[in-house]
Amino acid sequence: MNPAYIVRRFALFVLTVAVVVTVIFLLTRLAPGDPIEAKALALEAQAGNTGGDIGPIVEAYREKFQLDGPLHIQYVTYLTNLLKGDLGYSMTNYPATVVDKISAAMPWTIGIALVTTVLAMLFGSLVGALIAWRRSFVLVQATLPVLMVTAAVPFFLFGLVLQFFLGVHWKVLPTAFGVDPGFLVGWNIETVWQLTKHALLPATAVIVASTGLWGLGMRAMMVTTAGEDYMLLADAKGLKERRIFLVYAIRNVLLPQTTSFALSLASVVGGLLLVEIVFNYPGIGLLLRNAIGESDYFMIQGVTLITTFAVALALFIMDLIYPLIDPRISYSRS
Amino acid sequence: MTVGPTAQPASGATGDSTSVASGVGLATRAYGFFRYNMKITIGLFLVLIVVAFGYLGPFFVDLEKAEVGSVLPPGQAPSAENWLGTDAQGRDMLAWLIDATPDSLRVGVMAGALGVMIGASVGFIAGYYGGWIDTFLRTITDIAMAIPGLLVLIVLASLRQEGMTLELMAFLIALFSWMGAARVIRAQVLSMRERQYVEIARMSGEKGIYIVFFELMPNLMPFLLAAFVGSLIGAILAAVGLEFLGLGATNISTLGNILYWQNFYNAVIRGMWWWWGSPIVIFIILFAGLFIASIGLDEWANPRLKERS
Repeated sequence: MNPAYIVRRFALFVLTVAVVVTVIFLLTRLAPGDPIEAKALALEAQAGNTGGDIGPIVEAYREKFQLDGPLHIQYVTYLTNLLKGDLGYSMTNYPATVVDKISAAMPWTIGIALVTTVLAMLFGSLVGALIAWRRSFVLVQATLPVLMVTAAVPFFLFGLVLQFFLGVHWKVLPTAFGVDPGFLVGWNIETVWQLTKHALLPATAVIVASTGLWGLGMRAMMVTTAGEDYMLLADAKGLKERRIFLVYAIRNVLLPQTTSFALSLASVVGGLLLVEIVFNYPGIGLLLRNAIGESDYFMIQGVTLITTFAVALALFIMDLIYPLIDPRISYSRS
Repeated sequence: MTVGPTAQPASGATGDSTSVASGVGLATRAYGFFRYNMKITIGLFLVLIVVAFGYLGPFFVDLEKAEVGSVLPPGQAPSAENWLGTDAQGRDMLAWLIDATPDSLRVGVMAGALGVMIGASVGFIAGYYGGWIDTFLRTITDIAMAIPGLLVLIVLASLRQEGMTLELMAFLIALFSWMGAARVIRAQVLSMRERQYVEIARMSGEKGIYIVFFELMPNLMPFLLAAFVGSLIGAILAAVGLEFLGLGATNISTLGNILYWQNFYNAVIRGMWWWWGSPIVIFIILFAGLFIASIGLDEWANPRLKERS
């Protein structure tokens, strides 16, 4: 692989993370009236009632971020802490650290993100391809307007609808949580069943909505491909219908599809977080919602930093894999 | 000599006939445009339904009933009295929705317009000047696209202690919804820059500014419109996301705030389908309309996207 390509992509990855880190630093430091300190003081005042001890956090906060020092010193301290993987304590769940909470929530989000992405991609691409395929059933072709609606509406609105009908009205599936309350997760069949049952509704909400996006992208690409000369040739050679469809048409348009997915990854992640909130699903989104409710600024920033990092890393890896699987993309494209 | 006098009234007559015809012609052309671009027509129609609901609704429904505690007892299912029922705090849903719709649209239009202005400027400068400016601006666009904007917006909104206003929210959202416009406009300017009419204008000594506004801009209009609808969709999505989290302008009624309150009062679990269902219906009509219109606008701007069959 062309080293210049890798270097450029890596630079973009580092720059993306650096921009977010810096923007968040500036936002928190330049916000009027230092909300973090105000929150810490409010918690301290409250501590008498709850029995919690917030004093150490405020002290640690002042000390760690050198709040009395000039801005550039604060910035360096902040960066050093980040590089050490230290995002501070959760202000409302002391002594749990932000990293503790996020690593507990992350597997839930990543799990559901992976499963929904793969399924929506497969299903959406197939539907989109069939819609564009001139010789498929009219009924299939008629689903195009449905795709347009599902592609346009945010994930979590579907979540609400599914939650009501399947969870509340017909009571088929659980409406909340990752597993039944009180259930102990272990390596057994029962756990798998619990996880599947609870993930089914949030996952379906995401799949329904993103199937539309994949389907429309696939359809547009297939329409272009249908006019290519090699398609005409395949037809003229008398190849089987199915072979033309699967090998000549689909294979050639599947790869460009991943590009459009990479472009929308950031907004897909944002949508997924909102779905988690609807279903009280114990991932990053719920963590974020609770942190917002409690004004736990360290947690909000931690979630933002780590999610941005994860998305940027995923895009970087995709950029590296992409030229390997699609030889049409040259490494040295300027 | 004989040509002169006969030519004079003739040209006058044709002048008159064209001016009359252009009035009729405009209508015919508009009709032809909407017939040929069915997707734009359908999309626009759906969007207009929502606009009419929000802006004409106050003439038919008393918005006082959108106040908390104005219709008691709270939590009623739809009836002849309250067509869309009431929420858990005694607000009439229909009045509340009508009250909320214009502000939701306003956030989207403000943020979308600002976003497309930023995006078009970035794309324009990048495409027109090229070189290191292009590399620099394209890198910034790529970075902005890789950042989950909603999350940064959440950090921003959560840090504001004095609460959000509609205008501020629109401004912040615009900062994260310009990238699509920038990419499209840059690509178009890159290809137009090399076309002959631009070349001719340049060779005949026209200034850069003149070329930009009189040679390039008119050709970019379809793309700008398509990009505007694109960032409008993104902006309304971002606004709904923020409001659903309770980070919007909470003292104003918007559709996203209604969704926040239904979540806050567990309307879904309590079976109050009219509460969460009615804003969703409006959103579905609105998003579907905008999305179909944006596909139509894309095809109008770039006819090759249209199906050949």
